[in-house]
Amino acid sequence: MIRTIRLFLAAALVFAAFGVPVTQARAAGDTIVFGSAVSLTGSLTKEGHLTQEGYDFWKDYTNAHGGLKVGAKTYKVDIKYYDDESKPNTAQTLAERLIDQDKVDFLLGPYGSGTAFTVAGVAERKKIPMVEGNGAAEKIFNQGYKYTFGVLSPAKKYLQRVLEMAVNQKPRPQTLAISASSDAFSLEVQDGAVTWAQQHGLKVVYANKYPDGATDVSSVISAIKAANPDIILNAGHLQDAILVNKGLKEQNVQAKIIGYSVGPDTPDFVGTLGKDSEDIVGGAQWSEAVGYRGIPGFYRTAKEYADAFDKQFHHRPDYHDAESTAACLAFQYAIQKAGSLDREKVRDALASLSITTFFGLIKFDNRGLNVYKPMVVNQIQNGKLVTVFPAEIANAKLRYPIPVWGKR
Amino acid sequence: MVAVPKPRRGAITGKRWVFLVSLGLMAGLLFVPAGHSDYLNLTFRNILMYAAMSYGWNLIGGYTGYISFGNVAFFGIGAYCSAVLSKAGVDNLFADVGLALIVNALFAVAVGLPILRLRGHYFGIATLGVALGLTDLASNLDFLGGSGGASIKQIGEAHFTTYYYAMWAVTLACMIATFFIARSKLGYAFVAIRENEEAAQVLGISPTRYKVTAWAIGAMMGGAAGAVFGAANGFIDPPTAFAVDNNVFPIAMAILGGMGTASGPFIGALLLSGANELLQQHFLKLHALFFGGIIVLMILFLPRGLMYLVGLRGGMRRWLSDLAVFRV
Repeated sequence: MIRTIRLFLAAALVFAAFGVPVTQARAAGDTIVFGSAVSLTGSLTKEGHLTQEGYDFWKDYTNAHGGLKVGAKTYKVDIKYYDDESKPNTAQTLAERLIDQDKVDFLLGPYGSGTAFTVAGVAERKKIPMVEGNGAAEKIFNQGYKYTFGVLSPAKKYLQRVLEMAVNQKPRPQTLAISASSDAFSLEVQDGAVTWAQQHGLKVVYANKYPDGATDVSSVISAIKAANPDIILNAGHLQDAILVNKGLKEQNVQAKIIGYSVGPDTPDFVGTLGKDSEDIVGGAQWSEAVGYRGIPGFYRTAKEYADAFDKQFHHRPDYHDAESTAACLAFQYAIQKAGSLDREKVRDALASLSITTFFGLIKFDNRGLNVYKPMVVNQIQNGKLVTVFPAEIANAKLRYPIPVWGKR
Repeated sequence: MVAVPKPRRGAITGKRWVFLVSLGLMAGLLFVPAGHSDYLNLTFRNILMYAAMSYGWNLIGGYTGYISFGNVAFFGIGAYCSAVLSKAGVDNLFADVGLALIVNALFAVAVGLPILRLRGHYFGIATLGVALGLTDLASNLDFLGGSGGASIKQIGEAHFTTYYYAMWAVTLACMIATFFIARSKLGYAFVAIRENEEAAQVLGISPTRYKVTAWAIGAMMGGAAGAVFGAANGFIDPPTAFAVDNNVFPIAMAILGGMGTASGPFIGALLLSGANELLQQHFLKLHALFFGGIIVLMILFLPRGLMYLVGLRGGMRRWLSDLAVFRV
């Protein structure tokens, strides 16, 4: 018996030490393989799943339409996924694995700025182009990296649009309270909103942060209540939005506008909060209401995209879905433009890309960030997400000021 | 006069041959960079890092019997030592590790003197408080970068290999130090405290002094790993430095390998990290569930770790009869 155990133990050790790196063959020569570590578990699970949907939707569309034509040859596309557990360091290791072990051709970004930041470092070192649609912190793009491209508007813009809308309402709101989770993205969102508010005559009566991943924000809510603001905003992710919204109701904190950077757009927000989600606003990268007409090669309008998406996933796409699909589209058009799978050529094609898609203009500044596409503001009305700002594309009128808790 | 039985050879370090196998495996790990894969370097560097942290925990939790839930504090301090030095213009791994050793030893003594008077659950809760408190402190100290984190300058192009060897050296040092400490008077004092603190005191062992010593040496081990990690990672922020994983994994590894042995933490780190890696590759969404399952099974069937199984006399029957899970 002891001998057996010893043998087993010795075998297990050898296995653990040298059996871990199971080298996997690169996909066959007629498939382009993209790699992505997305958050399928952990605090960003919901957003991570939306990201994966957006990627898969493009993959299925492309393969169903014969594949991607590069020069004279047509390739199928495939995406290799890993779960980064919403942790930046895990995302980094997985990016190394995608490149070294799985030999992927290109990288699609993870969900979130923290993970995108570490993966961008890997992409740079390995000289592999990465397009991401879910890391909006400018910190990622201020490192001088040449291989990372973001199709989305920067974090600072997320809540600026909400304020822009708010100051045009009557009666004009005077005061703003904004809380933020202590992650890079949320702090930049908060910073952007506070700066804008100060420049436009809104008094900031509360601007503070709480720990990333906090599960109790009641002291933050109390402080906001004491400040009695006209506008209450939160910079964070879906979990923060749900937590803060519940807290505001519990402590019966009233305001003329309540808004979040991430949350109201995701299907889970209404599902979790029910009636309490009513009239909440959110900054959004995209909505079904946007009126762009894209170039041929994919669904050309937001409506066409949304209807086809709904058929496949049985829910309307939110902006996370759309920006993830847009990241794939950036690759699609850049690869076609380069006429090659050569990483340097594709990188150069990305850098000079300028196309209009259902998602809007995709064009990168010299840091790799798409600063050219505007954001929109959505509001939840009768359990549905409608676009209320800017006025040119709005499909509903902003409800303002919002009713008190319990009257929705 | 009652004859005091001499402790069985290996009882305090674990089986000698297992330790030799561990050293052999460590030698084998020297060749990982030859694979020219950043992924392999990173993966094995993480395994070594967990092993070093696990050794740090093993001294206080395994040998001295004081279960700490806050050893990640030392890892975090170590990582921040690298950040502070880098900010001051010093980018040298020896300086990073050196500073981490000094700061952690001082911090551990300062914190250990009051909290090591607590026992059992109370001690565990106090250590958890230390780790949580430091996370908040780091988030709010601007010279450490606050919650936005701090960058650490990377050295050279071949840095992946350099940092790998640095972590390897730290882990080897922890392993050998544990082996010699365990066989010294110090180690016997630790074990005496674990087995019966009052009896140890009667024998003339000052519990506080030895407990603080175990805690401080363990702190230095975790701190050294943290310093190398910080430098290697190039960036450190509170959630990374004081990550829950970095608190829990080393404990699970020490338990799996065998608490209070000189090779347990290393073997536990290899097996548990290996299992985690394989699960992550093959189960996209359910890997965390399976990993949790492994930990539960491990606690049920191997509460005393693999080292216990190796040293067991009496075979399967003895093993089964020892298991609490079958005593309803």
